[in-house]
Amino acid sequence: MTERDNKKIKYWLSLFILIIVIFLTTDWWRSIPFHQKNVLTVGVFSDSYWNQQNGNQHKFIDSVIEKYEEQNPNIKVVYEKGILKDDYSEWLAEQIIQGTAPDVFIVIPEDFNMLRDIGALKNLDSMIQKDEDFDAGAFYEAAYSAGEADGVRYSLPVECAPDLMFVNRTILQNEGIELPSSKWTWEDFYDICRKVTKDTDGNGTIDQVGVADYSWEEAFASNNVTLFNKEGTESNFTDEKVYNALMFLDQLDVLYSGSGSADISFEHGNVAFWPMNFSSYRTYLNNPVHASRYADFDWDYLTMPAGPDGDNASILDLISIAMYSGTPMQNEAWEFIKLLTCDEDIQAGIFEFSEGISVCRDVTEAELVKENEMLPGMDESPNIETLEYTMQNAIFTHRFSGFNEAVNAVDTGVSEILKSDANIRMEQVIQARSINNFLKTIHN
Amino acid sequence: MKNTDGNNTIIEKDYRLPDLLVNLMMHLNFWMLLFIVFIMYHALWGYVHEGSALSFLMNSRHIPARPFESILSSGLLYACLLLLLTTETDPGIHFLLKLIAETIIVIVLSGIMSFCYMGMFLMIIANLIRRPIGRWNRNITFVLVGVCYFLLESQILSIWIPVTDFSDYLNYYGSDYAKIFQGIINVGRLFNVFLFMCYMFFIVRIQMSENERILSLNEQLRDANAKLEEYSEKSALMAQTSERNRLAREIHDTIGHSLTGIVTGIEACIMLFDTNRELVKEQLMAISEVAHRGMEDVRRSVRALKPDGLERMPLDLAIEQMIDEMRRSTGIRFHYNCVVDLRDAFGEDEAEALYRTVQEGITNSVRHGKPQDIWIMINKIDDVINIIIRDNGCGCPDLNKGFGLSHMEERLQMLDGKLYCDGNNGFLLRAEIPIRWGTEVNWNHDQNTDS
Repeated sequence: MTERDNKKIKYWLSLFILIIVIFLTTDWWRSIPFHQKNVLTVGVFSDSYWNQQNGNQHKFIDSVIEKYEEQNPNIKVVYEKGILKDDYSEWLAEQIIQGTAPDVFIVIPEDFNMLRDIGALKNLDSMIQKDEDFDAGAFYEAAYSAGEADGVRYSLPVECAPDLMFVNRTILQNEGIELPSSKWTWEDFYDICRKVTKDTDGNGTIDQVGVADYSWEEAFASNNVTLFNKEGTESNFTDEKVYNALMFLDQLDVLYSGSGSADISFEHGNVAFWPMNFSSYRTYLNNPVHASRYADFDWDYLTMPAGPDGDNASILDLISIAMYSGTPMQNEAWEFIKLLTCDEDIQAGIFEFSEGISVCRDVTEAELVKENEMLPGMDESPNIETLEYTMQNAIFTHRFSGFNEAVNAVDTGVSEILKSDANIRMEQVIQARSINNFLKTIHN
Repeated sequence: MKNTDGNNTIIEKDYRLPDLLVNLMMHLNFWMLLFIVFIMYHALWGYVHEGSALSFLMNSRHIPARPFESILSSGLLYACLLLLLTTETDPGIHFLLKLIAETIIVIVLSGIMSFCYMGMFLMIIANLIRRPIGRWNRNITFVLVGVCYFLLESQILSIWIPVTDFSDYLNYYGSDYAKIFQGIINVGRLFNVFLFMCYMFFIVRIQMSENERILSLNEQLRDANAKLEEYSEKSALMAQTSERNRLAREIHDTIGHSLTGIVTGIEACIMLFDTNRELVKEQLMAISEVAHRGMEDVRRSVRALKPDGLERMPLDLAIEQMIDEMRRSTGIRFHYNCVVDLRDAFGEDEAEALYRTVQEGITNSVRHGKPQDIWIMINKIDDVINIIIRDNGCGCPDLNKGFGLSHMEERLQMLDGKLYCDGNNGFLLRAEIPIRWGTEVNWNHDQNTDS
């Protein structure tokens, strides 16, 4: 009899222990409201993604949280303050390892692949399908495509900024050159550069140039070069499109190679074209100190000139937001993501607190009209169409881990090629080998 | 009985060593679990504090389990496993459920340890071998647990169960320390296997000694059986001899005595026949008396020699007792139905015939038909007693009267009775015995005085 009781006690005890273990290791019970506020954690960095000093990032996220808590009074949203953008990836990794990963977090493009690989990103497809309010068409296509991998959606874009070509209209007017259209090509670009590059005061040195800081990245993007394969294990550096782009860069280099001179810059009004990220442009606009520097000349922005194999494509940079795969509060997290990315008021807040532009087409257009009205220094006609056309053709490059290092390697390779007088194709093969070797070291 | 008791205690003592080994395995596995989990979470802690969490994640490509929860749950799961392992169950579905629970716990524990140590499976297998379970169960369970163990140990499962590779944790430590830790784990694994092998060795030895014991017991049993047979033969012989002696004594005492008297008397008569006829007559009277007495003696002797119940009790009770004895000795169901008052109603020869007919009929049925039921009915039609004995055995379609039946028939014919047999559908035997009602009561009287 006692032995039988003993057996029963043992069984119940082991069942009890198993239940405790299941309780400990799963999170489903966290979604049961225990008469207190459920906590939704958010991962954000506090400085600007666009490397601009503004001190506004907390204001933006605070405004989002305020609105969210208003709509969901039983949920408290918390986030850790003071994480810098440069430390953000490491911070996120630490949180994931320690099991304290935030339910919702900002994803910077370089981390996207790694986070997806380790399974930290929640598949959002089912939630998007269930949610009837959600309209994917409201986003810029290029921005929206960034959160997708292998046909599965993992993140939604929050804010973005394309590269644009800034143009000094005063120089063009002085030289009697018409402002190029949105669909201009490298040939147009080269012609104008050739015409404006001259010695205006006759002292023997060139003091007006066509373009500054036009790098291989812009050239490759507008010549439709896909430089790396999806995993980032190999480069297509020997491609014909790359060759054409390199040839073009070489031609530009021949026109004026003294770009090191401090006197030659867009700010000084002696450079006709200057590729710049739209976020920088907005910083200049919003900062009176910067804005005053451009008072001497009229300026505007254009699309990027199209290469022979590509479109007027420019590089799009963006940050997105994703849900942690292990979050017990899926619905709440999804509501937060939706509020941040789709709500028009919140998205309009980007123009107030940040330098990027909204990923929602309507919001961006409306806000840019407002901004242009406020800023008299610009040309009166707002270049909304130009931006719209740019965003249509913008390219977002999926970034693998180590992408920045790979870009640096390509940078070195390209400058080697442009410096040397040897055959470009030969040099391409040599540099391609060293770039591929470097990629191998990254992935091992 | 004493012998077997002694053997049992020896077996109990022998299992102590395997039990000790299993206990050692349990301790060893606990420390291995603790050690590995400690290394894993110390490494994680180190990565976080060193600021290289990102590179760890990039290398391992998997999110490790949450540290606090997995340490706690591994401890609890191990406790649970020990509880289950030390609980005995009845063979059957309970046992299978328990085994499945154990296997799942061990897989989860191995998963927590990144599948770098799978020694706990050996504990389950050891436990399986120790418990007496059904053959079918044993085969199935061995296959199940074995497949799990091999899949995990060969790291095939890690394709489908993604876990952080243990070497990613070890990478935190310098290569020297990593080697030492890996070495400790390898030693633990080998020691665990060694303990398991020792355990198996002792279990096999115990089983072998048990087999030997059973063999020797069998031999003893065979000897005893042979002795018993010999003894029974001897005792049968002795019984025969004593019976023969008794017969001889009886014959000598009764018939011999009387015959001697008669012979000497007759010889005297022959001599006196011509001289004194009166004396001869007297003498013959005396001889007649001796012969009568001798006859009575013979009758008494025969009665004494008969071991039957018939001589000791009235006919009805005797028949009932015989049927009862047969029922007890054969296990056949008897359905006895007698509508005639059998007590004190018949002459000795008639009662004898009745009794013998029933006895022989039953014996016949039991011996040849192997029936489950035997129906016996005795009734009276006019002055004739009918005895019907029927069974549901295999019967005898080609009836060939053997000694028993022809003897019975002869006995009945002496009383003007008849015997009918039918061997189809079981065996049916019907005997008709005409009875001289109320003509003889002497026998009963004799019997009473005798007993």
